Amino acid sequence: MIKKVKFKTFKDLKAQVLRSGLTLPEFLKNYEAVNQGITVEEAEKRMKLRLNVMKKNIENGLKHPNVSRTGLTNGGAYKVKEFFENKGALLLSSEFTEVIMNTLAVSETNACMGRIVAAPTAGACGVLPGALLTIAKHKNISVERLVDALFVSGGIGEVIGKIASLSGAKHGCQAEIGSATSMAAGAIVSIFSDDIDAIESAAAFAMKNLLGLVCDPIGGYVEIPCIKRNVSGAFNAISSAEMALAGIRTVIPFDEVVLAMKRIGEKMSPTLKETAEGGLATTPTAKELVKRIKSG
Amino acid sequence: MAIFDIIGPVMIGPSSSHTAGAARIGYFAREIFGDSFDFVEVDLFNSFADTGKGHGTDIAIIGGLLGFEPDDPRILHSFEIATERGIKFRINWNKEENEDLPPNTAKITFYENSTPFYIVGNSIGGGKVEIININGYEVKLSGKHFALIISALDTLGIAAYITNIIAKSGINIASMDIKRDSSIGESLSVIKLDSEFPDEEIAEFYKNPHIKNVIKIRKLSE
Repeated sequence: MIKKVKFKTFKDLKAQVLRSGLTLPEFLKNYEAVNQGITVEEAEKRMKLRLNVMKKNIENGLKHPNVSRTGLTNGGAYKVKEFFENKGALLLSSEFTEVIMNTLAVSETNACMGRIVAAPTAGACGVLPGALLTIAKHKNISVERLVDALFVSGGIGEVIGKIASLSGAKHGCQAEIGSATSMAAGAIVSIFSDDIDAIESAAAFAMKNLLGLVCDPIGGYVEIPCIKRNVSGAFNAISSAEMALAGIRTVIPFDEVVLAMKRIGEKMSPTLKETAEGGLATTPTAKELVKRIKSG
Repeated sequence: MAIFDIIGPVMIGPSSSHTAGAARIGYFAREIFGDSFDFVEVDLFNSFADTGKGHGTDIAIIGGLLGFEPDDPRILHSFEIATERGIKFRINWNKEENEDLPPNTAKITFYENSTPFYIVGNSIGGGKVEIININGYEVKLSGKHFALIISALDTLGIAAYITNIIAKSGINIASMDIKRDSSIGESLSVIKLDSEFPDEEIAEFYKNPHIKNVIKIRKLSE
């Protein structure tokens, strides 16, 4: 009989992976299968369904301008796409523009009540597909590898959830976009390398870069600044992954970075944790917009 | 937490608490009451009332009440579908802060032949919800278990009578919570079960004249 497995920290996870002789994604697939009482094949199938939802979000999110119920989201992804199709990449390569476009497409789909995969939350759902799927397309990555990468991102998220929290109400945006970007960075590395230290470093870099980020959505709606923060989260994940793949290693272990995130979150004023009572949410323009939305 | 809770759930956006959780409260309420209602009134409180419009909380709850799960795209058209099905509804946005209720609370009142029956639910984040009141009885249900909610006159041996019937049906009790309201001389038992209690055996409870009402709760899918 297979025992249920548990890990509380990345260090703990790494030790178990090394002991098992499996790769990180293989270990995590087994872990989830055992804990859910399903086969590894079934676990892969379930993850593939999630991957397909992400793919659809990119495809459909670029078909026409996405407009939300509040009107705060108004066709950003489509604008980037049209510009790209007419004039090509503006500043860097087409891959760069595609990351912007794809991430916006998913996050706007969420804002407009589309069917998305919370990763780890709905507000941060654009980061992982925006970064991972754009790279996968350009590097011809197989579905199987992508499924594996999603398990890696889930494992990183689980560590964050155990040490700190994935909730903006608890630790601010650093726990939402911060967690998503960490998860995406590790996932990207796992496509190109089985080195668990590289995966850890990428996740650590990504989280470190967004420590202290507050959650201050206008009117409490998951739109401004959330949607564009997904784009910055996607790029942060990619640059973190590239640094780790090139061999840079984190000085502060991932577990300690997450602990720092938790401590910062605990010190953060409640007005900056999803309550829309501080930061951007209380700017004069934001207040004016909210008044208009609520009266209309 | 499971990996599928982190890469997931698959849900209709934009908010796990205000949209997915809202749909789940509606869905849960329908699981408890059934689908034989022709009018339903939804009262939204606190943050649900404050930002619910922009988060689609209203259409998500109606979607749930129609039997749509939180990832069902039909939620977007729930108002139209309710009308097609001949279900009338009213949404009340209670703008005044209610400190007695949790932040994201909805009270759903079903009317069947104009007799009201209400359920109060609360969205606790990550798409998870709790039912905190059923027609005046305080409860705490998350949908993780099958359950029975039984109100009875507070008489000697009533708990033994109830557990005896459950034991006879071969079902394991996960937990049992009995509350007494001495002002009306009633007790309320919330019994969480490992498996579903058979419909055809519900009548057994009513053979005891002290038992007034039995509500069966199904487990919600993940």
